[in-house]
Amino acid sequence: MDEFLKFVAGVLNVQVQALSADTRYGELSQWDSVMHLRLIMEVESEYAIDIPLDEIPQIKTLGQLYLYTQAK
Amino acid sequence: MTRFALLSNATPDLLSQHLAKAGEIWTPSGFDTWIPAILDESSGLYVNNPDVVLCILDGRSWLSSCKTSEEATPILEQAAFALRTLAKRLPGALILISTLDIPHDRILPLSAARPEREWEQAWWKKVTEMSASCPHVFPFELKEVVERIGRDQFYSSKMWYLGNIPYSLKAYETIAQEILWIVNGWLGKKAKCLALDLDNTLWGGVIGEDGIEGIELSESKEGAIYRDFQRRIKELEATGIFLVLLSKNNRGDAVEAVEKHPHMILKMSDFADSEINWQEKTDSISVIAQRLNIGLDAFVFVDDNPAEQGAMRQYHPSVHVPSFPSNKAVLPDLPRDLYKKHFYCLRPTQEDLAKTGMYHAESERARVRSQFGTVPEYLRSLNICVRFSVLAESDIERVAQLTQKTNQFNLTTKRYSVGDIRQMLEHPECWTVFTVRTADRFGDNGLVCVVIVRHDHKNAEIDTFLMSCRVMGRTVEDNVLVLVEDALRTAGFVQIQASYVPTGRNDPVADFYGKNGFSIVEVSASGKKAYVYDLSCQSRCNGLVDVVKE
Repeated sequence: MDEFLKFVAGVLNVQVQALSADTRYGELSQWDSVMHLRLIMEVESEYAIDIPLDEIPQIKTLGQLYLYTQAK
Repeated sequence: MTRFALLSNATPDLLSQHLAKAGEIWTPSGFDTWIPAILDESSGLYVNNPDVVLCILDGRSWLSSCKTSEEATPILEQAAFALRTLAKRLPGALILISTLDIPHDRILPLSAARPEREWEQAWWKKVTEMSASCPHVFPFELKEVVERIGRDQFYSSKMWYLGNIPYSLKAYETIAQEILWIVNGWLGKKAKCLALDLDNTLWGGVIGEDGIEGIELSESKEGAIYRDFQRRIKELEATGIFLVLLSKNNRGDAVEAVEKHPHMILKMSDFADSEINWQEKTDSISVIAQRLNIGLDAFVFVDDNPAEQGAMRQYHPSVHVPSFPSNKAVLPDLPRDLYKKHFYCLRPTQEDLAKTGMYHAESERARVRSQFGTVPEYLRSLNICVRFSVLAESDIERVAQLTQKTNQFNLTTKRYSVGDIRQMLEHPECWTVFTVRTADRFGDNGLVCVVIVRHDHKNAEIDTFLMSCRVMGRTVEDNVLVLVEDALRTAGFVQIQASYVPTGRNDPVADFYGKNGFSIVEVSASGKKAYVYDLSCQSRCNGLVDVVKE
């Protein structure tokens, strides 16, 4: 999880301390709708995963996104 | 900070995020509003006065409703009209217009004509025509990026259907990188000289051991890697950079191989200078830098030997040292990468095209100088001729280029864009720009010195005095200052103000005005010196060069 949060912090350009599994989409000003998409794409390419299109709108927290990286 | 304006018919947010590292980004509000933003004279586009305008067009969404060329042509025409208007309204900005990629989404029989191809071509033609007639407009080869990384990698249907974002992350990253390299080229932030090793770099093997018959360099198979590598370097040279050789070899062996090997593309005449001996390359590069009068940061050093690369990085951190590909098969791609990263040339000036010859002459001068006892003797032997004129339209790009890249002989180091210089030409009541060309018995140096004077009806101030370091130390600078004094005296001014602003790189000219009889009036805490010169005295003269006034 720590590694994952570090990666996300790099994408969002925020301090890693500002993030946790409970951080929600919309809580941080950097995490807007365009960044939401970008974040998911960056995570897909970093962890070599493919999240189905219709599940993407349901991802609301970093914890939920993290689960996809572990499912492989 | 560079001010970018980003115009697009698709959501440009991800591209903005990448470019934000290099400058401030302005985008029109609303989706697909790029044409109204151009046509509306009071739009934020013009208020923002951008340095760079990027027009990135997504061919797929732009022309998706068209089925025939009759439908597509008016759309392309309207866009081209808008862009010509933009080019007229922003004569000083760099304008990059993307070429088009239109995927073949429509299902058609194999025998059907594919009009998408024609539209791509028609747009490409409009953009290149615009670039030919407007010196600040260039095509941005978006289509080439698509071809290089492949359509499947370039487009992202997930991003498109979720967020109206047509391209993949990789595509945006690649586009942003290409743009930043082009902008660096435009701003003149680039190296000048490619320093090359010979053994295992320009050919395979070691000439001193394998001999001229034994080295790898041929029309086909492995030896063709080196021939193709040399071809690309020759093309690189033609864009206005120059080459030097740095090799540890017996000079005779190396020169013989370069001149006599049937598959050598590069000959000794392609190199402005060479150091082929058993000295350390870190010393040799300094010798060449001194002889050609250029800074070490103007060099890119290519050598296959990691020890040589390491030594260069350690002793001369300002020299650019790219890593040499461990996979020989990709060696011919290296010059293109270096070109984009260090040498991007948007539109070569005449001086750029004659570069190798000019530096060759410079190297000759340095050798002759060592034969003369005194400096005046040497200078007289050069037969220097100075042509002093007022800025002409055709010199605007070269003058802007010199203000961007001259560091050493630059009294105030003010950087001006093509647009700034054009403004000066259009306002002769406030600005006078003098240009100086020099030649001597070794060759023509081209336009090498610029003096910008800002004035109102009674006061004149030297805003910029700069000279290419190629001609420093030949009394040209002193003569030019006298010519400027004379011109201003004739125009009715009674005194000249001037200043020196230290930058850490222009120490050699710290006392230029003082030594030429200007009186110092103020030294600020930052080391900036202000001078005045009284024009009521007689004209000074200096007889070592011939002067032609135009």
